[in-house]
Amino acid sequence: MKTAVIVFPGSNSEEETLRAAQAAGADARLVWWFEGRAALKGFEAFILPGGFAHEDRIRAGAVAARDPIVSAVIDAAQHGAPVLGICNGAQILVETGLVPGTGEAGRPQAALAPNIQGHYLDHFAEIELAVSPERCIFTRHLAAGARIPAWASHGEGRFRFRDERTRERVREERLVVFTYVGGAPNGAEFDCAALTNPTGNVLAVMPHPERAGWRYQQPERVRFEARGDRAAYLAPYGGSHLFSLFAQVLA
Amino acid sequence: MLALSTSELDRISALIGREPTLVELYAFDAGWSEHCSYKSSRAHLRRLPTEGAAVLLGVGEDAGVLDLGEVDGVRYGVVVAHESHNHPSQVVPYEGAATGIGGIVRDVLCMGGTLIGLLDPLRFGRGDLEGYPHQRYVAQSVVDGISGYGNAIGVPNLGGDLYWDESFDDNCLVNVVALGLVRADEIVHSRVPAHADGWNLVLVGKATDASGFGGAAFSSLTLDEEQAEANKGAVQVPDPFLKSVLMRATYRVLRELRALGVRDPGFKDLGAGGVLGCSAELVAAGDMGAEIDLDAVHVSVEELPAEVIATGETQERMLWAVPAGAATQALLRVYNEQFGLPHVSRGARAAVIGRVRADKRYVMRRHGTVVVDVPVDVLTSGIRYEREVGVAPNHESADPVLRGEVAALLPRVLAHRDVCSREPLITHYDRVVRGTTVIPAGHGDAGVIAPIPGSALGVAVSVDGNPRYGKLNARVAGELAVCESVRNVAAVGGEAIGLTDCLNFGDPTKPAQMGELVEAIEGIGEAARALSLPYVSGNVSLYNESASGSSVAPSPIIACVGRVTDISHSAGFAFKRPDSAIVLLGARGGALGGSVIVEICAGQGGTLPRVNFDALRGELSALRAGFDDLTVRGAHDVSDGGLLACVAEMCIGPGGRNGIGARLDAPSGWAPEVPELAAWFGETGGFVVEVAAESAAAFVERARATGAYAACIGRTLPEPSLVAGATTFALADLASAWLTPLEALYA
Repeated sequence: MKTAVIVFPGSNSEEETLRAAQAAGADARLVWWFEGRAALKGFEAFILPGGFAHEDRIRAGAVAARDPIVSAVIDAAQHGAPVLGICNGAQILVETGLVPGTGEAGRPQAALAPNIQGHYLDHFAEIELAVSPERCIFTRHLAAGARIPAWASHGEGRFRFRDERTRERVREERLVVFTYVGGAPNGAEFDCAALTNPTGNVLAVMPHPERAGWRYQQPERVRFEARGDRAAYLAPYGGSHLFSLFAQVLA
Repeated sequence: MLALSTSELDRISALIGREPTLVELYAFDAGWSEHCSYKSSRAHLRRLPTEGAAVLLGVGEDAGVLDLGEVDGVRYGVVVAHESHNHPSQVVPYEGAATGIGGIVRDVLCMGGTLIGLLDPLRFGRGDLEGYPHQRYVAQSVVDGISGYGNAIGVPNLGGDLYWDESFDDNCLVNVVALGLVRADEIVHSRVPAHADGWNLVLVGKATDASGFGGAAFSSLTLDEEQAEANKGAVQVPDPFLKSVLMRATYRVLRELRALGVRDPGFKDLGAGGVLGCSAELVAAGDMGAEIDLDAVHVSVEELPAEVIATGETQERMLWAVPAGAATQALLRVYNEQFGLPHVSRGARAAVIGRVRADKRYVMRRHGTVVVDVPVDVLTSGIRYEREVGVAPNHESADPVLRGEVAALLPRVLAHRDVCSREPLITHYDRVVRGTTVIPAGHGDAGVIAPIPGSALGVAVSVDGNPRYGKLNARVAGELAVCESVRNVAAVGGEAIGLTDCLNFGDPTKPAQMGELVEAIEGIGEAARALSLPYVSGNVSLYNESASGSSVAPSPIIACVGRVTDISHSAGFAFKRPDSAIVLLGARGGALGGSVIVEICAGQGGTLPRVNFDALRGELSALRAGFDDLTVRGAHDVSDGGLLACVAEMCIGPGGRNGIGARLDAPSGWAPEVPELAAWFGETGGFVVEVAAESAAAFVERARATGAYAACIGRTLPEPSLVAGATTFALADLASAWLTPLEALYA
């Protein structure tokens, strides 16, 4: 399965996201917004990387969600294609309504509000599988309660849901796939770090697994365990797990 | 508003043999500003060392390039630029700080570099901001501006430092350092090549507007409160969204030009002096002239006056010189059609605005009328002043006798605004975008990245300069700034390979302040020579003085770039393991001037520590060897707050929860000549090093053999307490003292 990492004007994490996907074995390449919807023909899986697509105008992800190239992703997702959105990519997926996917198509049922601190936050964060592994196609091979390291780097990471009915469905259908270990640093409802859709083929994850996806990016203590081992430092580790799971879906 | 003096006006007329046109006047106003011409400082800056084995490209272009090393047969360079955006940040803090990043990013881009890191040394007004609403606003908005711009363009923040002093009340300092990565054989130059006759000059970026008009001249004026409102127009408007797209489009243009065989395009950032300043410098550097048609410059408002289009400093613009034909077509296609600049920002695009001519004349037309016609070198050669260099005041005095209890003093030292954790501020910055960060800002004395995917070759970088030292003795402060930046790079396992400087001083027309500038240049030059390190770029910011006549603390700010041969050997400052030996490198001294402890205990007084360069070279080589053979587990330089604060930080760790304690022997055992409080809190440079216990004796012995002072002064503990001689601290108390002071401002 060929994977497209879609670059919007304002994306800023496309290179490392592509590297992480490739390191996990995905047959991935960058597709730029100006290549248009037609360029996505032949791709069967999609990753939306982090950044500030279309300057985060109106709301983070709101304009990108209406970018013509995203309409092709929406179509594919509705037919079961695996779609992973990271940070700004997650914001875009929420703005398309694909996640939590509990309302009518194209109508957002959630939003990523500004962090409760009112400003950007950049720090290491661990996320934990909060549902049974079968809930989402990307987590099928994870152990229950598995933890994945990531970096939370965002100004608007606070998952909020449209209304009580949506909140209820998110709870009932177990759509909050990952929560933050130790609680959401940004005030997200349900401590949500990653949200899926009812069919489990779309995953919107706020913290960046590709920023903790190699040993050299890990917290000091984890790095130190492999000190002096150059190959180990350069090897995929931690957050790369999420990309391996993604690649396994495609295999 | 022109900043040129009457005598300068007369000189212009004499130089070109007639009265200048209005556009020419504004061109000279920018070109002869202190900001552009270094008219006060250039003669003195010549004395700085600028050559060395690691220099791939020295001073003189948009940025310098240092030799990082070879990976798979390809040699890589680190592009280094260092700038100030002090005046704009004081007047319009968010935009001023943001455009400071915007400008320096273009400097790196124009060398053909991929942006890999940013650092922000900041100096704000007095620490107690109660009753100082503007100073508080500046301190918060500058950080917001840096975060708003740097995060959006996706360049990781690798470090910076932060000091508070009332001399910055009316003049904050906002310096910025940017790093880029470039293949040595793909460096692009800020000049046209010898065969560029007839090449096109292509302006790319934002549509020119009236913002930033008179910016260079403004930066060279003393700030006056009443003029602040008028000066706001001289500050540019940042557009990180456009920059993000421009960066990516430029990376592609660089690839396409190489594919077309164009190896030597000219490429230069539009900064001071706008279209005219940039184009004149780009062609003059290659001994050529230019012909510019102002009607071809894309503008956002019709009927801008010619002088505004010619010299206005609208942000987010760069100028290319490329051959006509395929190269020009490729450039226009990538920027305008593929990346669609006109859709990204209204009116933005790439446009051919003129051509290179061989006869070294600079001709500019507007509506068919010639508005500039001069030999190009009169525009670019600038002017020099032989400023009167007075005696720099030396405010050092006898070192005071300190009184107090260690138990009460350490928490106060850790909570001091110049010592406490910068985490509440740093968390506003994206430290890990690009996925290359190894040691994030705040986790080590220097930031470390591995910028080449798949390679363990790393870059370490730190930026330093202590204004409390600057206030006492500018020359020694310069030396100490160099030493601290080099120590910081060494403390993470890096080998220093080069330096940049940004000299932030007061009014050069006042002999004493000019004297301080010259002394600081002597100091930073001497230290660099002693350590065999070259300067590859730099910046001078003068007139950092308010209308009331108070100047900022003399502030030579130094960035050091280091090579990390293997990132798997590098380490942050936090203690790694209990039962390690704690080794002190660097003898303690009695000099207390400018130290935090003097401020807390005695208010003022003291001498600055003098650097023993032989001993320092020994410390550096011992540390290096310890990182090479992995006996060193981590290191932290002794600086603000002294040795005990340094060890406390290693126990606490960057996030406050490292939880490894330490027991330190009483100083009578390892610094018998020095009073106890001076040994614990004095800021004489040195390192605290965590060494595997079984290797400690050999490490100390090897260090002593280099001529350095080395002593084992304690060991790390499994329990969360710090024992300093007879005093025991709970780490939780120290952590809260250290972590919380900046929360009120930045949380």
